[in-house]
Amino acid sequence: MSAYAAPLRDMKFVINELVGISDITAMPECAEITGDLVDAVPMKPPNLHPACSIHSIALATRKARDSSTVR
Amino acid sequence: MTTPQGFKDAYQQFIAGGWNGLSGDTAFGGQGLPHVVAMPVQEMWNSANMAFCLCPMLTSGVLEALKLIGTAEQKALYLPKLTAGTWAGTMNLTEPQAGSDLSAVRTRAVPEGDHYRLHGTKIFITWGEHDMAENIVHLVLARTPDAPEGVKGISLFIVPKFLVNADGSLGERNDVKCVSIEHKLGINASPTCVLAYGDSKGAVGYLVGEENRGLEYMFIMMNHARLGVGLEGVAIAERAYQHAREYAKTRVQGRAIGQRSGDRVTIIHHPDVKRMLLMMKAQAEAMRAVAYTASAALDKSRHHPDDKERRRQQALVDFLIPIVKGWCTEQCVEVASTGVQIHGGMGFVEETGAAQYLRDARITTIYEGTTGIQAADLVGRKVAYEKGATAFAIIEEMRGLDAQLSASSNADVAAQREGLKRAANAVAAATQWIVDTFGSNPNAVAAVAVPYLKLWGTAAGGWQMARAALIAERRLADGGDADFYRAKIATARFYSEHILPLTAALHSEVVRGAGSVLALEEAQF
Repeated sequence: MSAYAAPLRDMKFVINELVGISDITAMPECAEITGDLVDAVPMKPPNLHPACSIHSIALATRKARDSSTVR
Repeated sequence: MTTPQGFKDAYQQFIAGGWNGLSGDTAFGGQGLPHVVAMPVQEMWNSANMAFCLCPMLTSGVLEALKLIGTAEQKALYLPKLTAGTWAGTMNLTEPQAGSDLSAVRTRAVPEGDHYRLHGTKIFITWGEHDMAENIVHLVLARTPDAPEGVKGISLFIVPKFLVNADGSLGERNDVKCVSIEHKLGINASPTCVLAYGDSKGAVGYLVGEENRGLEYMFIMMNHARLGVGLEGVAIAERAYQHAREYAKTRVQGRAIGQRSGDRVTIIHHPDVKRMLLMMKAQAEAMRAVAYTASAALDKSRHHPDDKERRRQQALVDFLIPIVKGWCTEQCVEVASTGVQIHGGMGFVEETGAAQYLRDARITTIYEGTTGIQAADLVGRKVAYEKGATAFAIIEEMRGLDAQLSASSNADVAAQREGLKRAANAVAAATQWIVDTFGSNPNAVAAVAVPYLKLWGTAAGGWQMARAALIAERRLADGGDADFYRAKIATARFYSEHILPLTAALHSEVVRGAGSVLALEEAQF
């Protein structure tokens, strides 16, 4: 079984440039989503570990809008 | 049911990291991330282990259903644990006599106080029983005693494996049990169960929404689930590609063409192997682009502030979902098969691992609605119903790229103009034929619905690859990541010259092929 390497470069290209994440983050209901968050989320799963939780990523990279949405 | 070694621990780490609730509602402990942000993460999980991923995927289907139609009490009781992943979910539709035709569902639900008692057998229940979660919440389609015949008499019920007390703690074991596990071609680490409901006094179930509207509710969340299976297609194609690429770069065999002496080369130097690898790479990238585009449309259809734009995006989602599900899964079987081919004889033996992707891929064209079901949905409920409005809008966008492609000073970009133009013409003519024929001859349309779906998938892939090439050209001019953007342009050109020409053949099959399908009588087979 060969090692799997997430195709991060292509994923980022598709999300940021081809689909255009700015259309998504421009919507008021998604206002706390930042480019940093979008980049950070896919980077972490390969190192899946409790210390590397989605909660800590979100906490570090979301726009501080309403602290109750972030645990 | 004992899961394979390591699964329980992996699942505990997975939920401890909060990954189960990535796009879950923030009110119930989820992160509320847009679907398009969750897509790459889910793609990776599926590339890593599709069998494992089916467990959280089914849970997210239950989450989606309860979020949309559950009562406030049901949401409070079930959603936090399901979002966290402490509890898992399943979808129970199929019965031995009710597969693609759910109108034949027979499981009975008899009212008893504030709940119902369910009796019946459900088959093909993915992750129907396991030891990774504290509780399993089954969503079950069943009929109440006075329900009308057919699809309008099916209701949706929550049937937890362990009954849930009002304070959320677990109560007694419900009357539902796994009576057997299927032996399958692939996804062997995912338990596919036969579940028996009500062997003794009946399984306690709680109605979701109103009686007799179960199938309608199923369709609400179907988009979500079908996009998820389409993404499995992307994930398997990517994994199979990486596996074949690794082999092609290390396996030494023969000399380069025209060389009679000197070192032997790795097989990636042979043009036919290169062609096969490019076929895999180009398909995987095109599928990813189309699938992620559909997920962004799903986000916009829910969150866009403008009502008219939300409706436009919803139409785009409705149109793209059967294409993403049907085309990405059909292609992933082909891509995984090409991966085996690149391995030669070594691909046919299990120890290289290449065959597993082909075996795992094979289910994706079947579950959550076969390719035939997707195609019927596309031609009927989507294209004919709105007289091709969304289809023609996308075709206009494809044609809109022509000016940019022809103006390009990059020969590899400009060369894609012809392929895209022909693809747009092919898909436009086929769409017009579907719109014109559906009312008068629905059998003819049904006979060529799958080629029509494949035509759209192939053309939509070309549309996104051409857009990708144009963006890459601009980034190169700005001095961006040259290796990546040059490879993207070359891959898009390959798609345009090796894959897009299929649209001409598929167009011909759609507009001329129905008669010969319908001509042969049953006895002639």
